[in-house]
Amino acid sequence: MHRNGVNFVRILLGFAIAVGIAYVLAALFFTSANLIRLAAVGADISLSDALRTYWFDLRGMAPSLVWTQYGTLIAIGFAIAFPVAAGLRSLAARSHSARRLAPYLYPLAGAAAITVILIRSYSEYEVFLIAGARGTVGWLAQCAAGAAGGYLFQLAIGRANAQEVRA
Amino acid sequence: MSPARARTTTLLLAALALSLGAHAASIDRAAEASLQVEVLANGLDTPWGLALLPDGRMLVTERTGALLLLDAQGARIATIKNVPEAFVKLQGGLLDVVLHLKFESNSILYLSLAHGRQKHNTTRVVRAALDGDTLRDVQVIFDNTPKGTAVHYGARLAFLPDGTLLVTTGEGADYREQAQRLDVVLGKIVRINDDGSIPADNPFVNTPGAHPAIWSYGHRNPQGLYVDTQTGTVYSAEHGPMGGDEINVIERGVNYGWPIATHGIDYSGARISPFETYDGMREPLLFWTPSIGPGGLALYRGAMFPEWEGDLIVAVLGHKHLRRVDLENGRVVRQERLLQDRNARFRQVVIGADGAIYAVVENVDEAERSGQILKITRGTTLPATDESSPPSTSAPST
Repeated sequence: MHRNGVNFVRILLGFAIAVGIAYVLAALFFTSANLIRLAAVGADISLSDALRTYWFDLRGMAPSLVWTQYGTLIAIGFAIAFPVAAGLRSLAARSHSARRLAPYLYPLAGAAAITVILIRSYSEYEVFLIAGARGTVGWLAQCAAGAAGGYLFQLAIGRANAQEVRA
Repeated sequence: MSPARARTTTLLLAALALSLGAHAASIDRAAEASLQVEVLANGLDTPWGLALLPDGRMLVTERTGALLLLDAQGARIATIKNVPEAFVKLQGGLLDVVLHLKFESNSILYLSLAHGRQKHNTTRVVRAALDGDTLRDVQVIFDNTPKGTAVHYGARLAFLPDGTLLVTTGEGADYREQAQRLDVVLGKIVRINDDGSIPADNPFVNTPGAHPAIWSYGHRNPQGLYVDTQTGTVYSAEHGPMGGDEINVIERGVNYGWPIATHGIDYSGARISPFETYDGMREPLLFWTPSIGPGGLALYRGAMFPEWEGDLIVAVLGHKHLRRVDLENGRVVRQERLLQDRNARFRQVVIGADGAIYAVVENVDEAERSGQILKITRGTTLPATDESSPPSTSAPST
């Protein structure tokens, strides 16, 4: 019981870290992409302008009680994707050939969650409501943020899972 | 965008919901008892443009592709034949209609429409002669730069007093930075001759690499355009993102800022740009934050409402009313909402020769095929309008 409680706290903490870091990275990539595009058409953006924009965006898209916020969507996405990844890890643990996939499943789940969010937000009007994801690089950068979140989650809960995979 | 889709929108829905709630307090109530509203036509399928013919008949575009000929009382006379096929999707379709300045003698009209397919579509302008219930001599006279989104077409048409035609083009949303590029016709207002050729005195005809049709640039999605023939002043109404809807006075060669300078923010909650203003870019005459969703507009000149002489009447889609913008010496001194109890998305407004106001309603109660043409005339009494709102050139910014 005590061990289960510790694991639960570890999972919660890992989830919070994963969402937080993924969101911060996604927001930074988002703002960078937009500022680069503006600079390319002549906007003279100083460091203070850029920092102000990073800060605004970081707050503007942050997780909140509004489920449509990008940060909230990332949390929801991870909450769906990580249990799926955990299930796949369990399956992988039973197969000698699939075991080598286990270290990649949470990062893949994080990237997949972001991909689904981007597709979902795109599908309504077939435009990028997450404007920082425009273009291949913008899209991949957002997915990389999701993968980083997944990797951090894996690290945070690593001991329990490592034991599971070895079993 | 259809109501059904709007209900399922993710980020955009939240943006609209916020804007709907926050804006109500700053604007005067209309003297609606003074207005007599007659529903001339009902059951239209997403009407977009309206042209009043000299004999009192009307031409109405439905975004879904039909051009309707109505009599002066709004009864349908015909669905015009040989109308070019439009790319009908999301905001695309058959859009505006305008008459040649010499329509009485040459029967020529102009249509704007979305043309192409999802991956490659344009804002197209065609010229044709109206012969009974058929278009003859249909000619494509303008296409803007192709884009791969089915939104932000602009597509409003208006003739300048010199006989040249202004056409608004949207920036296609995902291509917003292109509004600043002079080699791309997205997010521009262009000026062409009545046959589609380029006027020699356009501002960028001698600029290497620039498209010679460009008249002004830095626009997002201008769906309102009006030329005051008395003064030559050109007004545009432009959708902002989340906030930053604008009324602009359009001048030759001017950069209106989008997306480098804007009072709006993105639907995601992020900034479009670090800048609300920027050197060398023109500030709007008026902006609305939160957004109200302005469609078409007209400057009122007429005998029916002399107290509104020289005021702008703006068709408001998002907040569902007509808005009178009181201009004094080129400055906004107050605003007034009209017909806000009809739950109607106002798409366009046209002033008749007798001073009556004709309004195009895209839909009522978000219902399909509920578009209307309204004729607004003076009622029996006209109470004094409320003077309580403070004069300002812009709505409060958030």
